[in-house]
Amino acid sequence: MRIYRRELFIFDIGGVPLALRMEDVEYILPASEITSVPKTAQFVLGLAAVRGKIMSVIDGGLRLRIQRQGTSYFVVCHVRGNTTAVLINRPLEAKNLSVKKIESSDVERILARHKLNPKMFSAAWEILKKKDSHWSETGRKFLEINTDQFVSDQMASKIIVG
Amino acid sequence: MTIVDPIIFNAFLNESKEAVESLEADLVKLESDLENKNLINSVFRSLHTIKGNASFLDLDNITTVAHEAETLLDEVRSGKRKINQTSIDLVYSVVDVLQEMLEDPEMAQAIKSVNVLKVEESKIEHIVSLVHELELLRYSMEKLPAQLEGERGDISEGLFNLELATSKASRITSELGAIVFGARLVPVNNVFRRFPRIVRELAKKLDKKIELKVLNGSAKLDKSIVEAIADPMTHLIRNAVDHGVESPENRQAKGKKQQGTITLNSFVDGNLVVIEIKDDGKGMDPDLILYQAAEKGIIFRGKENTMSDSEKLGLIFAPGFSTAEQVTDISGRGVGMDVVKSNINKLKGMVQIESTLGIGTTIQLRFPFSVVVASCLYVYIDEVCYAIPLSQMEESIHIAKGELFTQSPQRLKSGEEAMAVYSLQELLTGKFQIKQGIKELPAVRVRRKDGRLIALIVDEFSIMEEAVIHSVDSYISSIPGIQGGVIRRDGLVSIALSIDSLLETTFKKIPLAYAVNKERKHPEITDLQKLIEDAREITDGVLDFKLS
Repeated sequence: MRIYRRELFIFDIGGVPLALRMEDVEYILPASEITSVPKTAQFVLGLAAVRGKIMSVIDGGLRLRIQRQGTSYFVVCHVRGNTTAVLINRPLEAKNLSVKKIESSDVERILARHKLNPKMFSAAWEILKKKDSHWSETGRKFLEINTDQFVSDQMASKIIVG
Repeated sequence: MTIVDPIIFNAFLNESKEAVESLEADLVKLESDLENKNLINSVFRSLHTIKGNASFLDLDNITTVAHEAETLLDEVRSGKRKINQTSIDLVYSVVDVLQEMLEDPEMAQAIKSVNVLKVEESKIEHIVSLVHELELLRYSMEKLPAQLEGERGDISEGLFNLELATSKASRITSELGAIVFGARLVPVNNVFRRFPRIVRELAKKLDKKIELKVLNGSAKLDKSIVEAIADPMTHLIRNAVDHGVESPENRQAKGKKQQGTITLNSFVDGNLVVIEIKDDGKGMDPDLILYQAAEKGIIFRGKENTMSDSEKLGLIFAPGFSTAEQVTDISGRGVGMDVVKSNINKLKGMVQIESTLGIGTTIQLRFPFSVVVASCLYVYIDEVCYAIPLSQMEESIHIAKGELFTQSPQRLKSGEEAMAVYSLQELLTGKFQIKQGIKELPAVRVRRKDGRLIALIVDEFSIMEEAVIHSVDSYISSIPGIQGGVIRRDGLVSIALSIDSLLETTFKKIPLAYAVNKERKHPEITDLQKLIEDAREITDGVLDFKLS
């Protein structure tokens, strides 16, 4: 079994455990009110004031086609050079983890269960735990997303990074 | 020279340089309007300011020179002396001497590297009130630990107060940040002021007749950018005078006015501040530029077939390129445009060029902004609050139902002006919902670039106040009509509209109706009115229609 060390922020949208690389995440805070912007993609919820800055808010659930449920948080992260707030359900943990890759058949099963688009995810992991100098599987599995996936290619073509 | 506080000295230098620039601009106007007493008074006042400040700092040379010119102007004001070209040239030479004195290295040494920003008193008052708010906030936060430990009241109340304090702190820091960022913004007019003299001198030297027009110099950019664009802009304007605008004889032969025009303008386009330099000269031939670029080895032969006209024009920014048939001491030394481009790029700006042979050339310097401060009218459309910069509208109006008509505006009596009436909601969202029970439609009146009037219906007017417009992600600011975002006092965001860019995309849309631009009841009962009445029957549905 090959063991990887990954610094990840793990969160939940509609019961699906997902992860972003810590280096892409600035901070997490409870969601605040959003002003809708006309003529944007459906998953672009609008603009919100976050710690004195105005940020675009992307609905992580709508973008990944997962039904969000319950409480909402903003994950403020770097998306193609911009600082963007992504709406999620709740943060789970953020730390340096020991993980192993999930078997592809297992990944397919997870994707099929939640009807997810495989193109949106860069990897699938399972958290490992060390006990008596041996690594054991915890059964906690999640899908890793590259933050660039939060905007569509059409939107990305309009991004000018100063 | 008396030793003075460098900050005071720097303020003197800045104020005197501004006075000299305004003096130069007034002199250029005075030359073509010798009897204009307001201009003579303005020139006198500028000289008086320089003299007064210099005298305060015991700068005797500057005081004496300014005094002599001031005396001359005083004689003109009192009618003892008649102003003519000779006396104007004399004042110009005084200006040159003053400029040399103000740029004396000894002066520069005296101020070392002190940089001063002018901040309006009202902004300082705003900062003071925010600091008071912060003090109150700190006081209320001191009680929080006890509340969270359950010593006073329950924990949920403590958590609620913590959230309240966090949101308040967020708003205060946002406002403080905006004021501080805003303090660095200065109008581009600060640099525009220096060009009338430059154009006058060059045009005189080249026996050309050129008028420099400033359409709008009020767009604001960071002080460091405004200072840094002076040199590239000077280069572009010298080029326009030297190579752009033709000689009076050539212009006459082409059926143009003998006097050419160079126009400076500034405006906000999406999340960019645009500075525009436009001339009505001979324009540029893309194919000639391409040929010369190939001759100079700037591009490989054979590539020309694949290049668009705008790509060909862009070749003038390549290092070593010059279209000047004769190298002059004014411009066209084969260096320059590439330096202009790289200097603008260093400031995170872009250069765009458009040219039509025989008609003229327009060069745009485009800079992204982080914040812009503007007075805005807040309006509600479909329960969303939008901010409209006052600079982009004429006034807010109410259009009574009876004033609307759909007949051709040509049928109006002479002297009446018709406004095309659009729904701002429809332009922004593509939907149009009529509010129930409204007798008058609130609207903003806007004048389009071509001079025509337009009324944009909104749901409701809200407050009017100075707002800090933040830039937003480019995939949002690229939506027609969106300039940026404003954080309101309640911490929520309003979308700042760019009416100009919205109207650009509206040209092809058919207006809902027309209205007369004066208080006037129009007798015609129209289909549109019926349509509006019908729409009111719909209680909560959205009416999505277009007249065609």
